[in-house]
Amino acid sequence: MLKSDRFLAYALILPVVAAVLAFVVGPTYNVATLSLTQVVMGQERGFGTLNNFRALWADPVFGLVLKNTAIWILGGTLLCVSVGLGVGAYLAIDSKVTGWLRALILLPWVLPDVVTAMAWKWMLHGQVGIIGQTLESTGLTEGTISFMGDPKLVMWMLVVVLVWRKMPLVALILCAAIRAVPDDQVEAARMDGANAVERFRFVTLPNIAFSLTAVTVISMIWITAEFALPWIMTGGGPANASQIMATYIYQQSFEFFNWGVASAMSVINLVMLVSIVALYLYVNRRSWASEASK
Amino acid sequence: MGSVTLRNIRKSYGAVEVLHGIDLDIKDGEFTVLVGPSGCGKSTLLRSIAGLETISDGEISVDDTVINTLVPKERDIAMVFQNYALYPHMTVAKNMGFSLRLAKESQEEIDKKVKAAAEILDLNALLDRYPRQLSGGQRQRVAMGRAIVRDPKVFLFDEPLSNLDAKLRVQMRSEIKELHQRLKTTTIYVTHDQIEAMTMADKIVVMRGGHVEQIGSPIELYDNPASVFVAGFIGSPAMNFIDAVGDGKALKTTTQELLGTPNATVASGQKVIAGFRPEDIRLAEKGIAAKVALIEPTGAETQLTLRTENEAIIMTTRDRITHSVGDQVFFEVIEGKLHCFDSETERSLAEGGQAQ
Repeated sequence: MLKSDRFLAYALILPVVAAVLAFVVGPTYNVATLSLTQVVMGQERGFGTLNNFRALWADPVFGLVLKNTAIWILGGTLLCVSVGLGVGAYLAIDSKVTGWLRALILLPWVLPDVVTAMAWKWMLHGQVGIIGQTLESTGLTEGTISFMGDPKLVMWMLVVVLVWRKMPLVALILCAAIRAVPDDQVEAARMDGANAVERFRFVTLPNIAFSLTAVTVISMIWITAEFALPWIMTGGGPANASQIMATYIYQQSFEFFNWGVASAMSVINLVMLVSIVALYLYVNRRSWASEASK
Repeated sequence: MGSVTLRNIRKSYGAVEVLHGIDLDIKDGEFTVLVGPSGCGKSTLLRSIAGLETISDGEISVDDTVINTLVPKERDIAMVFQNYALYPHMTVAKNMGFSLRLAKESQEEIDKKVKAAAEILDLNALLDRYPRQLSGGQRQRVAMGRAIVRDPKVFLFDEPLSNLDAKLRVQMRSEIKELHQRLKTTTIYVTHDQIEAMTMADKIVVMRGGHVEQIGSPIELYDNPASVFVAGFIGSPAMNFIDAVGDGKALKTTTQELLGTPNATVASGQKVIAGFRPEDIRLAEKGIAAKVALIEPTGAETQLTLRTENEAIIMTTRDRITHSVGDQVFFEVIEGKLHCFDSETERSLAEGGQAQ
């Protein structure tokens, strides 16, 4: 390579490198150092301490937050992907109805978070919510249920709304993947004597495995980063019963000004996400290789 | 045993009928080739026999059992697809044993049958490979192996060689034919390639526009085509056709040149289509005048394009040609090789030609 070419090459990638440094590495570094800094009332008081992490460990709410976050991320992802797979498989069938549904199903996905959250908040309202009233008037329940007020229920209600909101895109991606499965493989399986379930299990699933793992990891990342929905619907309440990482970080930093503790939580969050992505890359390492060799 | 009987098979997509009542009898062990141009319904017919398509009317039976309401797995029919349709995530052995696995046979039994099939197809060394690690020809053999392990009553092939390069196609053609001679399983084979049909078939079914044009052995179809379509489709280069008029027992061209005596009785003045194969004409001292327009040597044979007043006639000869382009020549049709078709219906006027 000519010397001038090398300069040109570096010059061309410089803007991207600068942007990544400024907007990704910089803030991450900042948060990481902040998590190791003692902060009192918004004032930095000394670097090089693990006090923030110790404080989290001692915080009785943090245990609950971890449990809620597990429900939120694992439950949400699992439901999103499994419901999405079912819906996607249905949408993959060719008919007029599914043609329309494929377009309609994106509706929850295009609504702004705030609108979704407010609409569901009112629908699930303890006294005036339409869902509770319908259940009561049809005699399915005695009296209305306080969906958002019941600490045992609230986390799962959030997950339901989350699935409603995030599942459509998962379903569409999987629908596209299922439709891309070669017809002749499915037909060969029919000739080999496979029934519908066996065809799905032995032909469709292996063919969409790549999309399935990708969409699982992507949903996990989306759900981990989702903040507006739980914050607007419950604000972490009642009594931290629906407090998750995202909302607790927000509360610690912008309501209690515990920057240090919030940063410590962010670091934990980041480590979690990185592990998920690493797991994904590890699981898919063979697929990458085989895709490349095709 | 595996004799196949089709009775009045009809298939419609909405208002469009693509198969207009197909009747066909296939004897046990016969190698039958369905041939025709794209869109003639040959693949649809094959897929109907397989059970991948439902038919609108008619009856399909295998060994006197009506199967058209059965799902594919109950029909005891195996199919080889054009694009091989191997399961990419399974090894060759798994691919071949998949149907047995679904049928809940023991692993021992599966291994035994897969090994036996692999032996036949020379796939033993490849059993642990994945389809993506195989060449086109090997994939096609695995697809055949998948059909063989089931030991079905009928094999169906849907244009299995069209994805292979020319040389491999010729090789696989003989492999499939050898395989059939060894296993003696009833085979129905779809192709648009008339050479494949001619070389492999015991019986050829020529289809066109959802109808059967003619059924017969390759030589029957070649020597006694029932219509202009069959005559033009079977054989390469294709048969020459020119408009002609009956004149006593003979046929004359529209410019009153004598063609010869046809294989049918024609009334004087009756307008017909005369047909003769490129190898059935020879250059002569007198006859029909033409100019040499093109000379294409292929080594063993030479193909000549002769231009008469109105037509271009293709002729092949094994003789060495001394003429050059532009020369005036005369040609004649060899006695007894002149075909004659009705100019309206395009059916053969020879005896039996109208029967189809």
